[in-house]
Amino acid sequence: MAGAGMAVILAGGKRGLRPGGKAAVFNADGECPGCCECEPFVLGSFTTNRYYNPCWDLTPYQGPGQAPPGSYWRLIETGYCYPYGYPWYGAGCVNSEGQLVGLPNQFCSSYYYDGYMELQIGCYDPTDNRIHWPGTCQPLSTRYSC
Amino acid sequence: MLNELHETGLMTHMPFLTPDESGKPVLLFCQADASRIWKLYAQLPDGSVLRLLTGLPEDVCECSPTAWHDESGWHVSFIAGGGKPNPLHRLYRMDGPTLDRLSTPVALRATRAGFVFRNRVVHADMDNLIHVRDLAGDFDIELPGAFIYRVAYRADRPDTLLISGQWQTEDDVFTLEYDLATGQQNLIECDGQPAYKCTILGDQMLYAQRIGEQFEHRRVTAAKSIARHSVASAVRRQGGQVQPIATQPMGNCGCRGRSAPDAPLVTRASCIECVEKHLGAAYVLLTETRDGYAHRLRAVGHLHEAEDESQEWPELHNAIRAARKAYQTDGTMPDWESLAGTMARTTAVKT
Repeated sequence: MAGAGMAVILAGGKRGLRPGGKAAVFNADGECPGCCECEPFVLGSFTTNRYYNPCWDLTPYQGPGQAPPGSYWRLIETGYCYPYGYPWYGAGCVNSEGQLVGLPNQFCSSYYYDGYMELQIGCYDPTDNRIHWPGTCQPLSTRYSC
Repeated sequence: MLNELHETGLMTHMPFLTPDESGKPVLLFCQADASRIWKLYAQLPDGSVLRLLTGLPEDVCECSPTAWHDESGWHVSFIAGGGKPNPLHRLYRMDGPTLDRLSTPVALRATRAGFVFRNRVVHADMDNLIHVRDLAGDFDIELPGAFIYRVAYRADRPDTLLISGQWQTEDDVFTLEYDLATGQQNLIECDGQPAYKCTILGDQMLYAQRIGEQFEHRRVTAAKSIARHSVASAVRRQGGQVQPIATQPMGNCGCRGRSAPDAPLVTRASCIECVEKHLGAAYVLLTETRDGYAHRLRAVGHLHEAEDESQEWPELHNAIRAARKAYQTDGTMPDWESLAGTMARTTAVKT
């Protein structure tokens, strides 16, 4: 049961976070104002191909309210789980308005094979000091600053 | 026998010729309809065609087969991936006494290009690096500026890799023949075109000829004519010495950025074809400028690019630089014939 000063535990068993990455706690009313509930998820996906489908329009994912404040975003190719680490094909932070800071207008590929692109939202977990990402492709990464 | 492959009207791709137990050629290849979900097949010496059953889901693409036969039977490796929900591509192998009795495939590692041959495992990053893992030692092959689409080998000369890809800054595809033992390398052309994803066995060469508007509309075709151009596009590296992506393109000009002791520092890979392209563009633009078109800046840009990509050849580099500066200073039109002559001399020396 929620009590003042107790840590917020999310449905998945992880601790809730504040935008700065600190653990969230309940107040005297059993609420967590500004609490950042963050579970990794795929915000969008697209298959690129130099010939058939070279560019992915990312503008629908710009603007506020796209992801939990304080979370992280990255563009990654899941057909090869590539490239192997930060900065992938683009990465950044989510600001206090839920906006993906630095997300470009589009991603274009000059690769003739299909590129299975995902725009992923990741969550920082202070228990292991890492960012957790959805899926099985590079699911953990070191925390980066923006 | 290739005609029989195409009676169905389906696309064929990724050929690999390898001898069977009696030395007769077996052709492994991929086949697909417009969905581009490729599946593995083999054509046996008697002409019959056999689907190589992998047991992988129907939406998974299977490609880049290679195989060898020894006293224990057949050993096949291939690349597969692209299905839902996880499109990860992997290098697989399967073994068995005959091609229609192969084992369930075993995934060896995530990659989009590579093969297994006996104790050698080769896999590639899509950006410019090939990793060779071998009992004799591990090393990498860097192919700067290239996307790598397939790595196979000659079944009759297993130390010869056949690397197919595309220059990242161009539309051109290529196949590079690379000898692991000597480092000798050639770009291969079939019938006047880059020998995309070719296979060679003895004097027989097949390649994936483009037959339609779309890039993957291809058909396995026997080469009528073959040409090889010696190049130095690839560089052998110690494992981990370089990282993918972080290298500079060299294109298909067979030249690396390098400096003679007294020459100016080469800061960019030189490329005679690129120089010719930029000079040609500048020629067209400056001719139009005389007719009143405002192309001055673009033409100067092309001259600078030509200058930049000729650093390895001081005579040509200095001539282009002088021509650009003269044009910028007082509008003197470059002496195109003189530049063409200098370029021809450079090409002659280079080859």
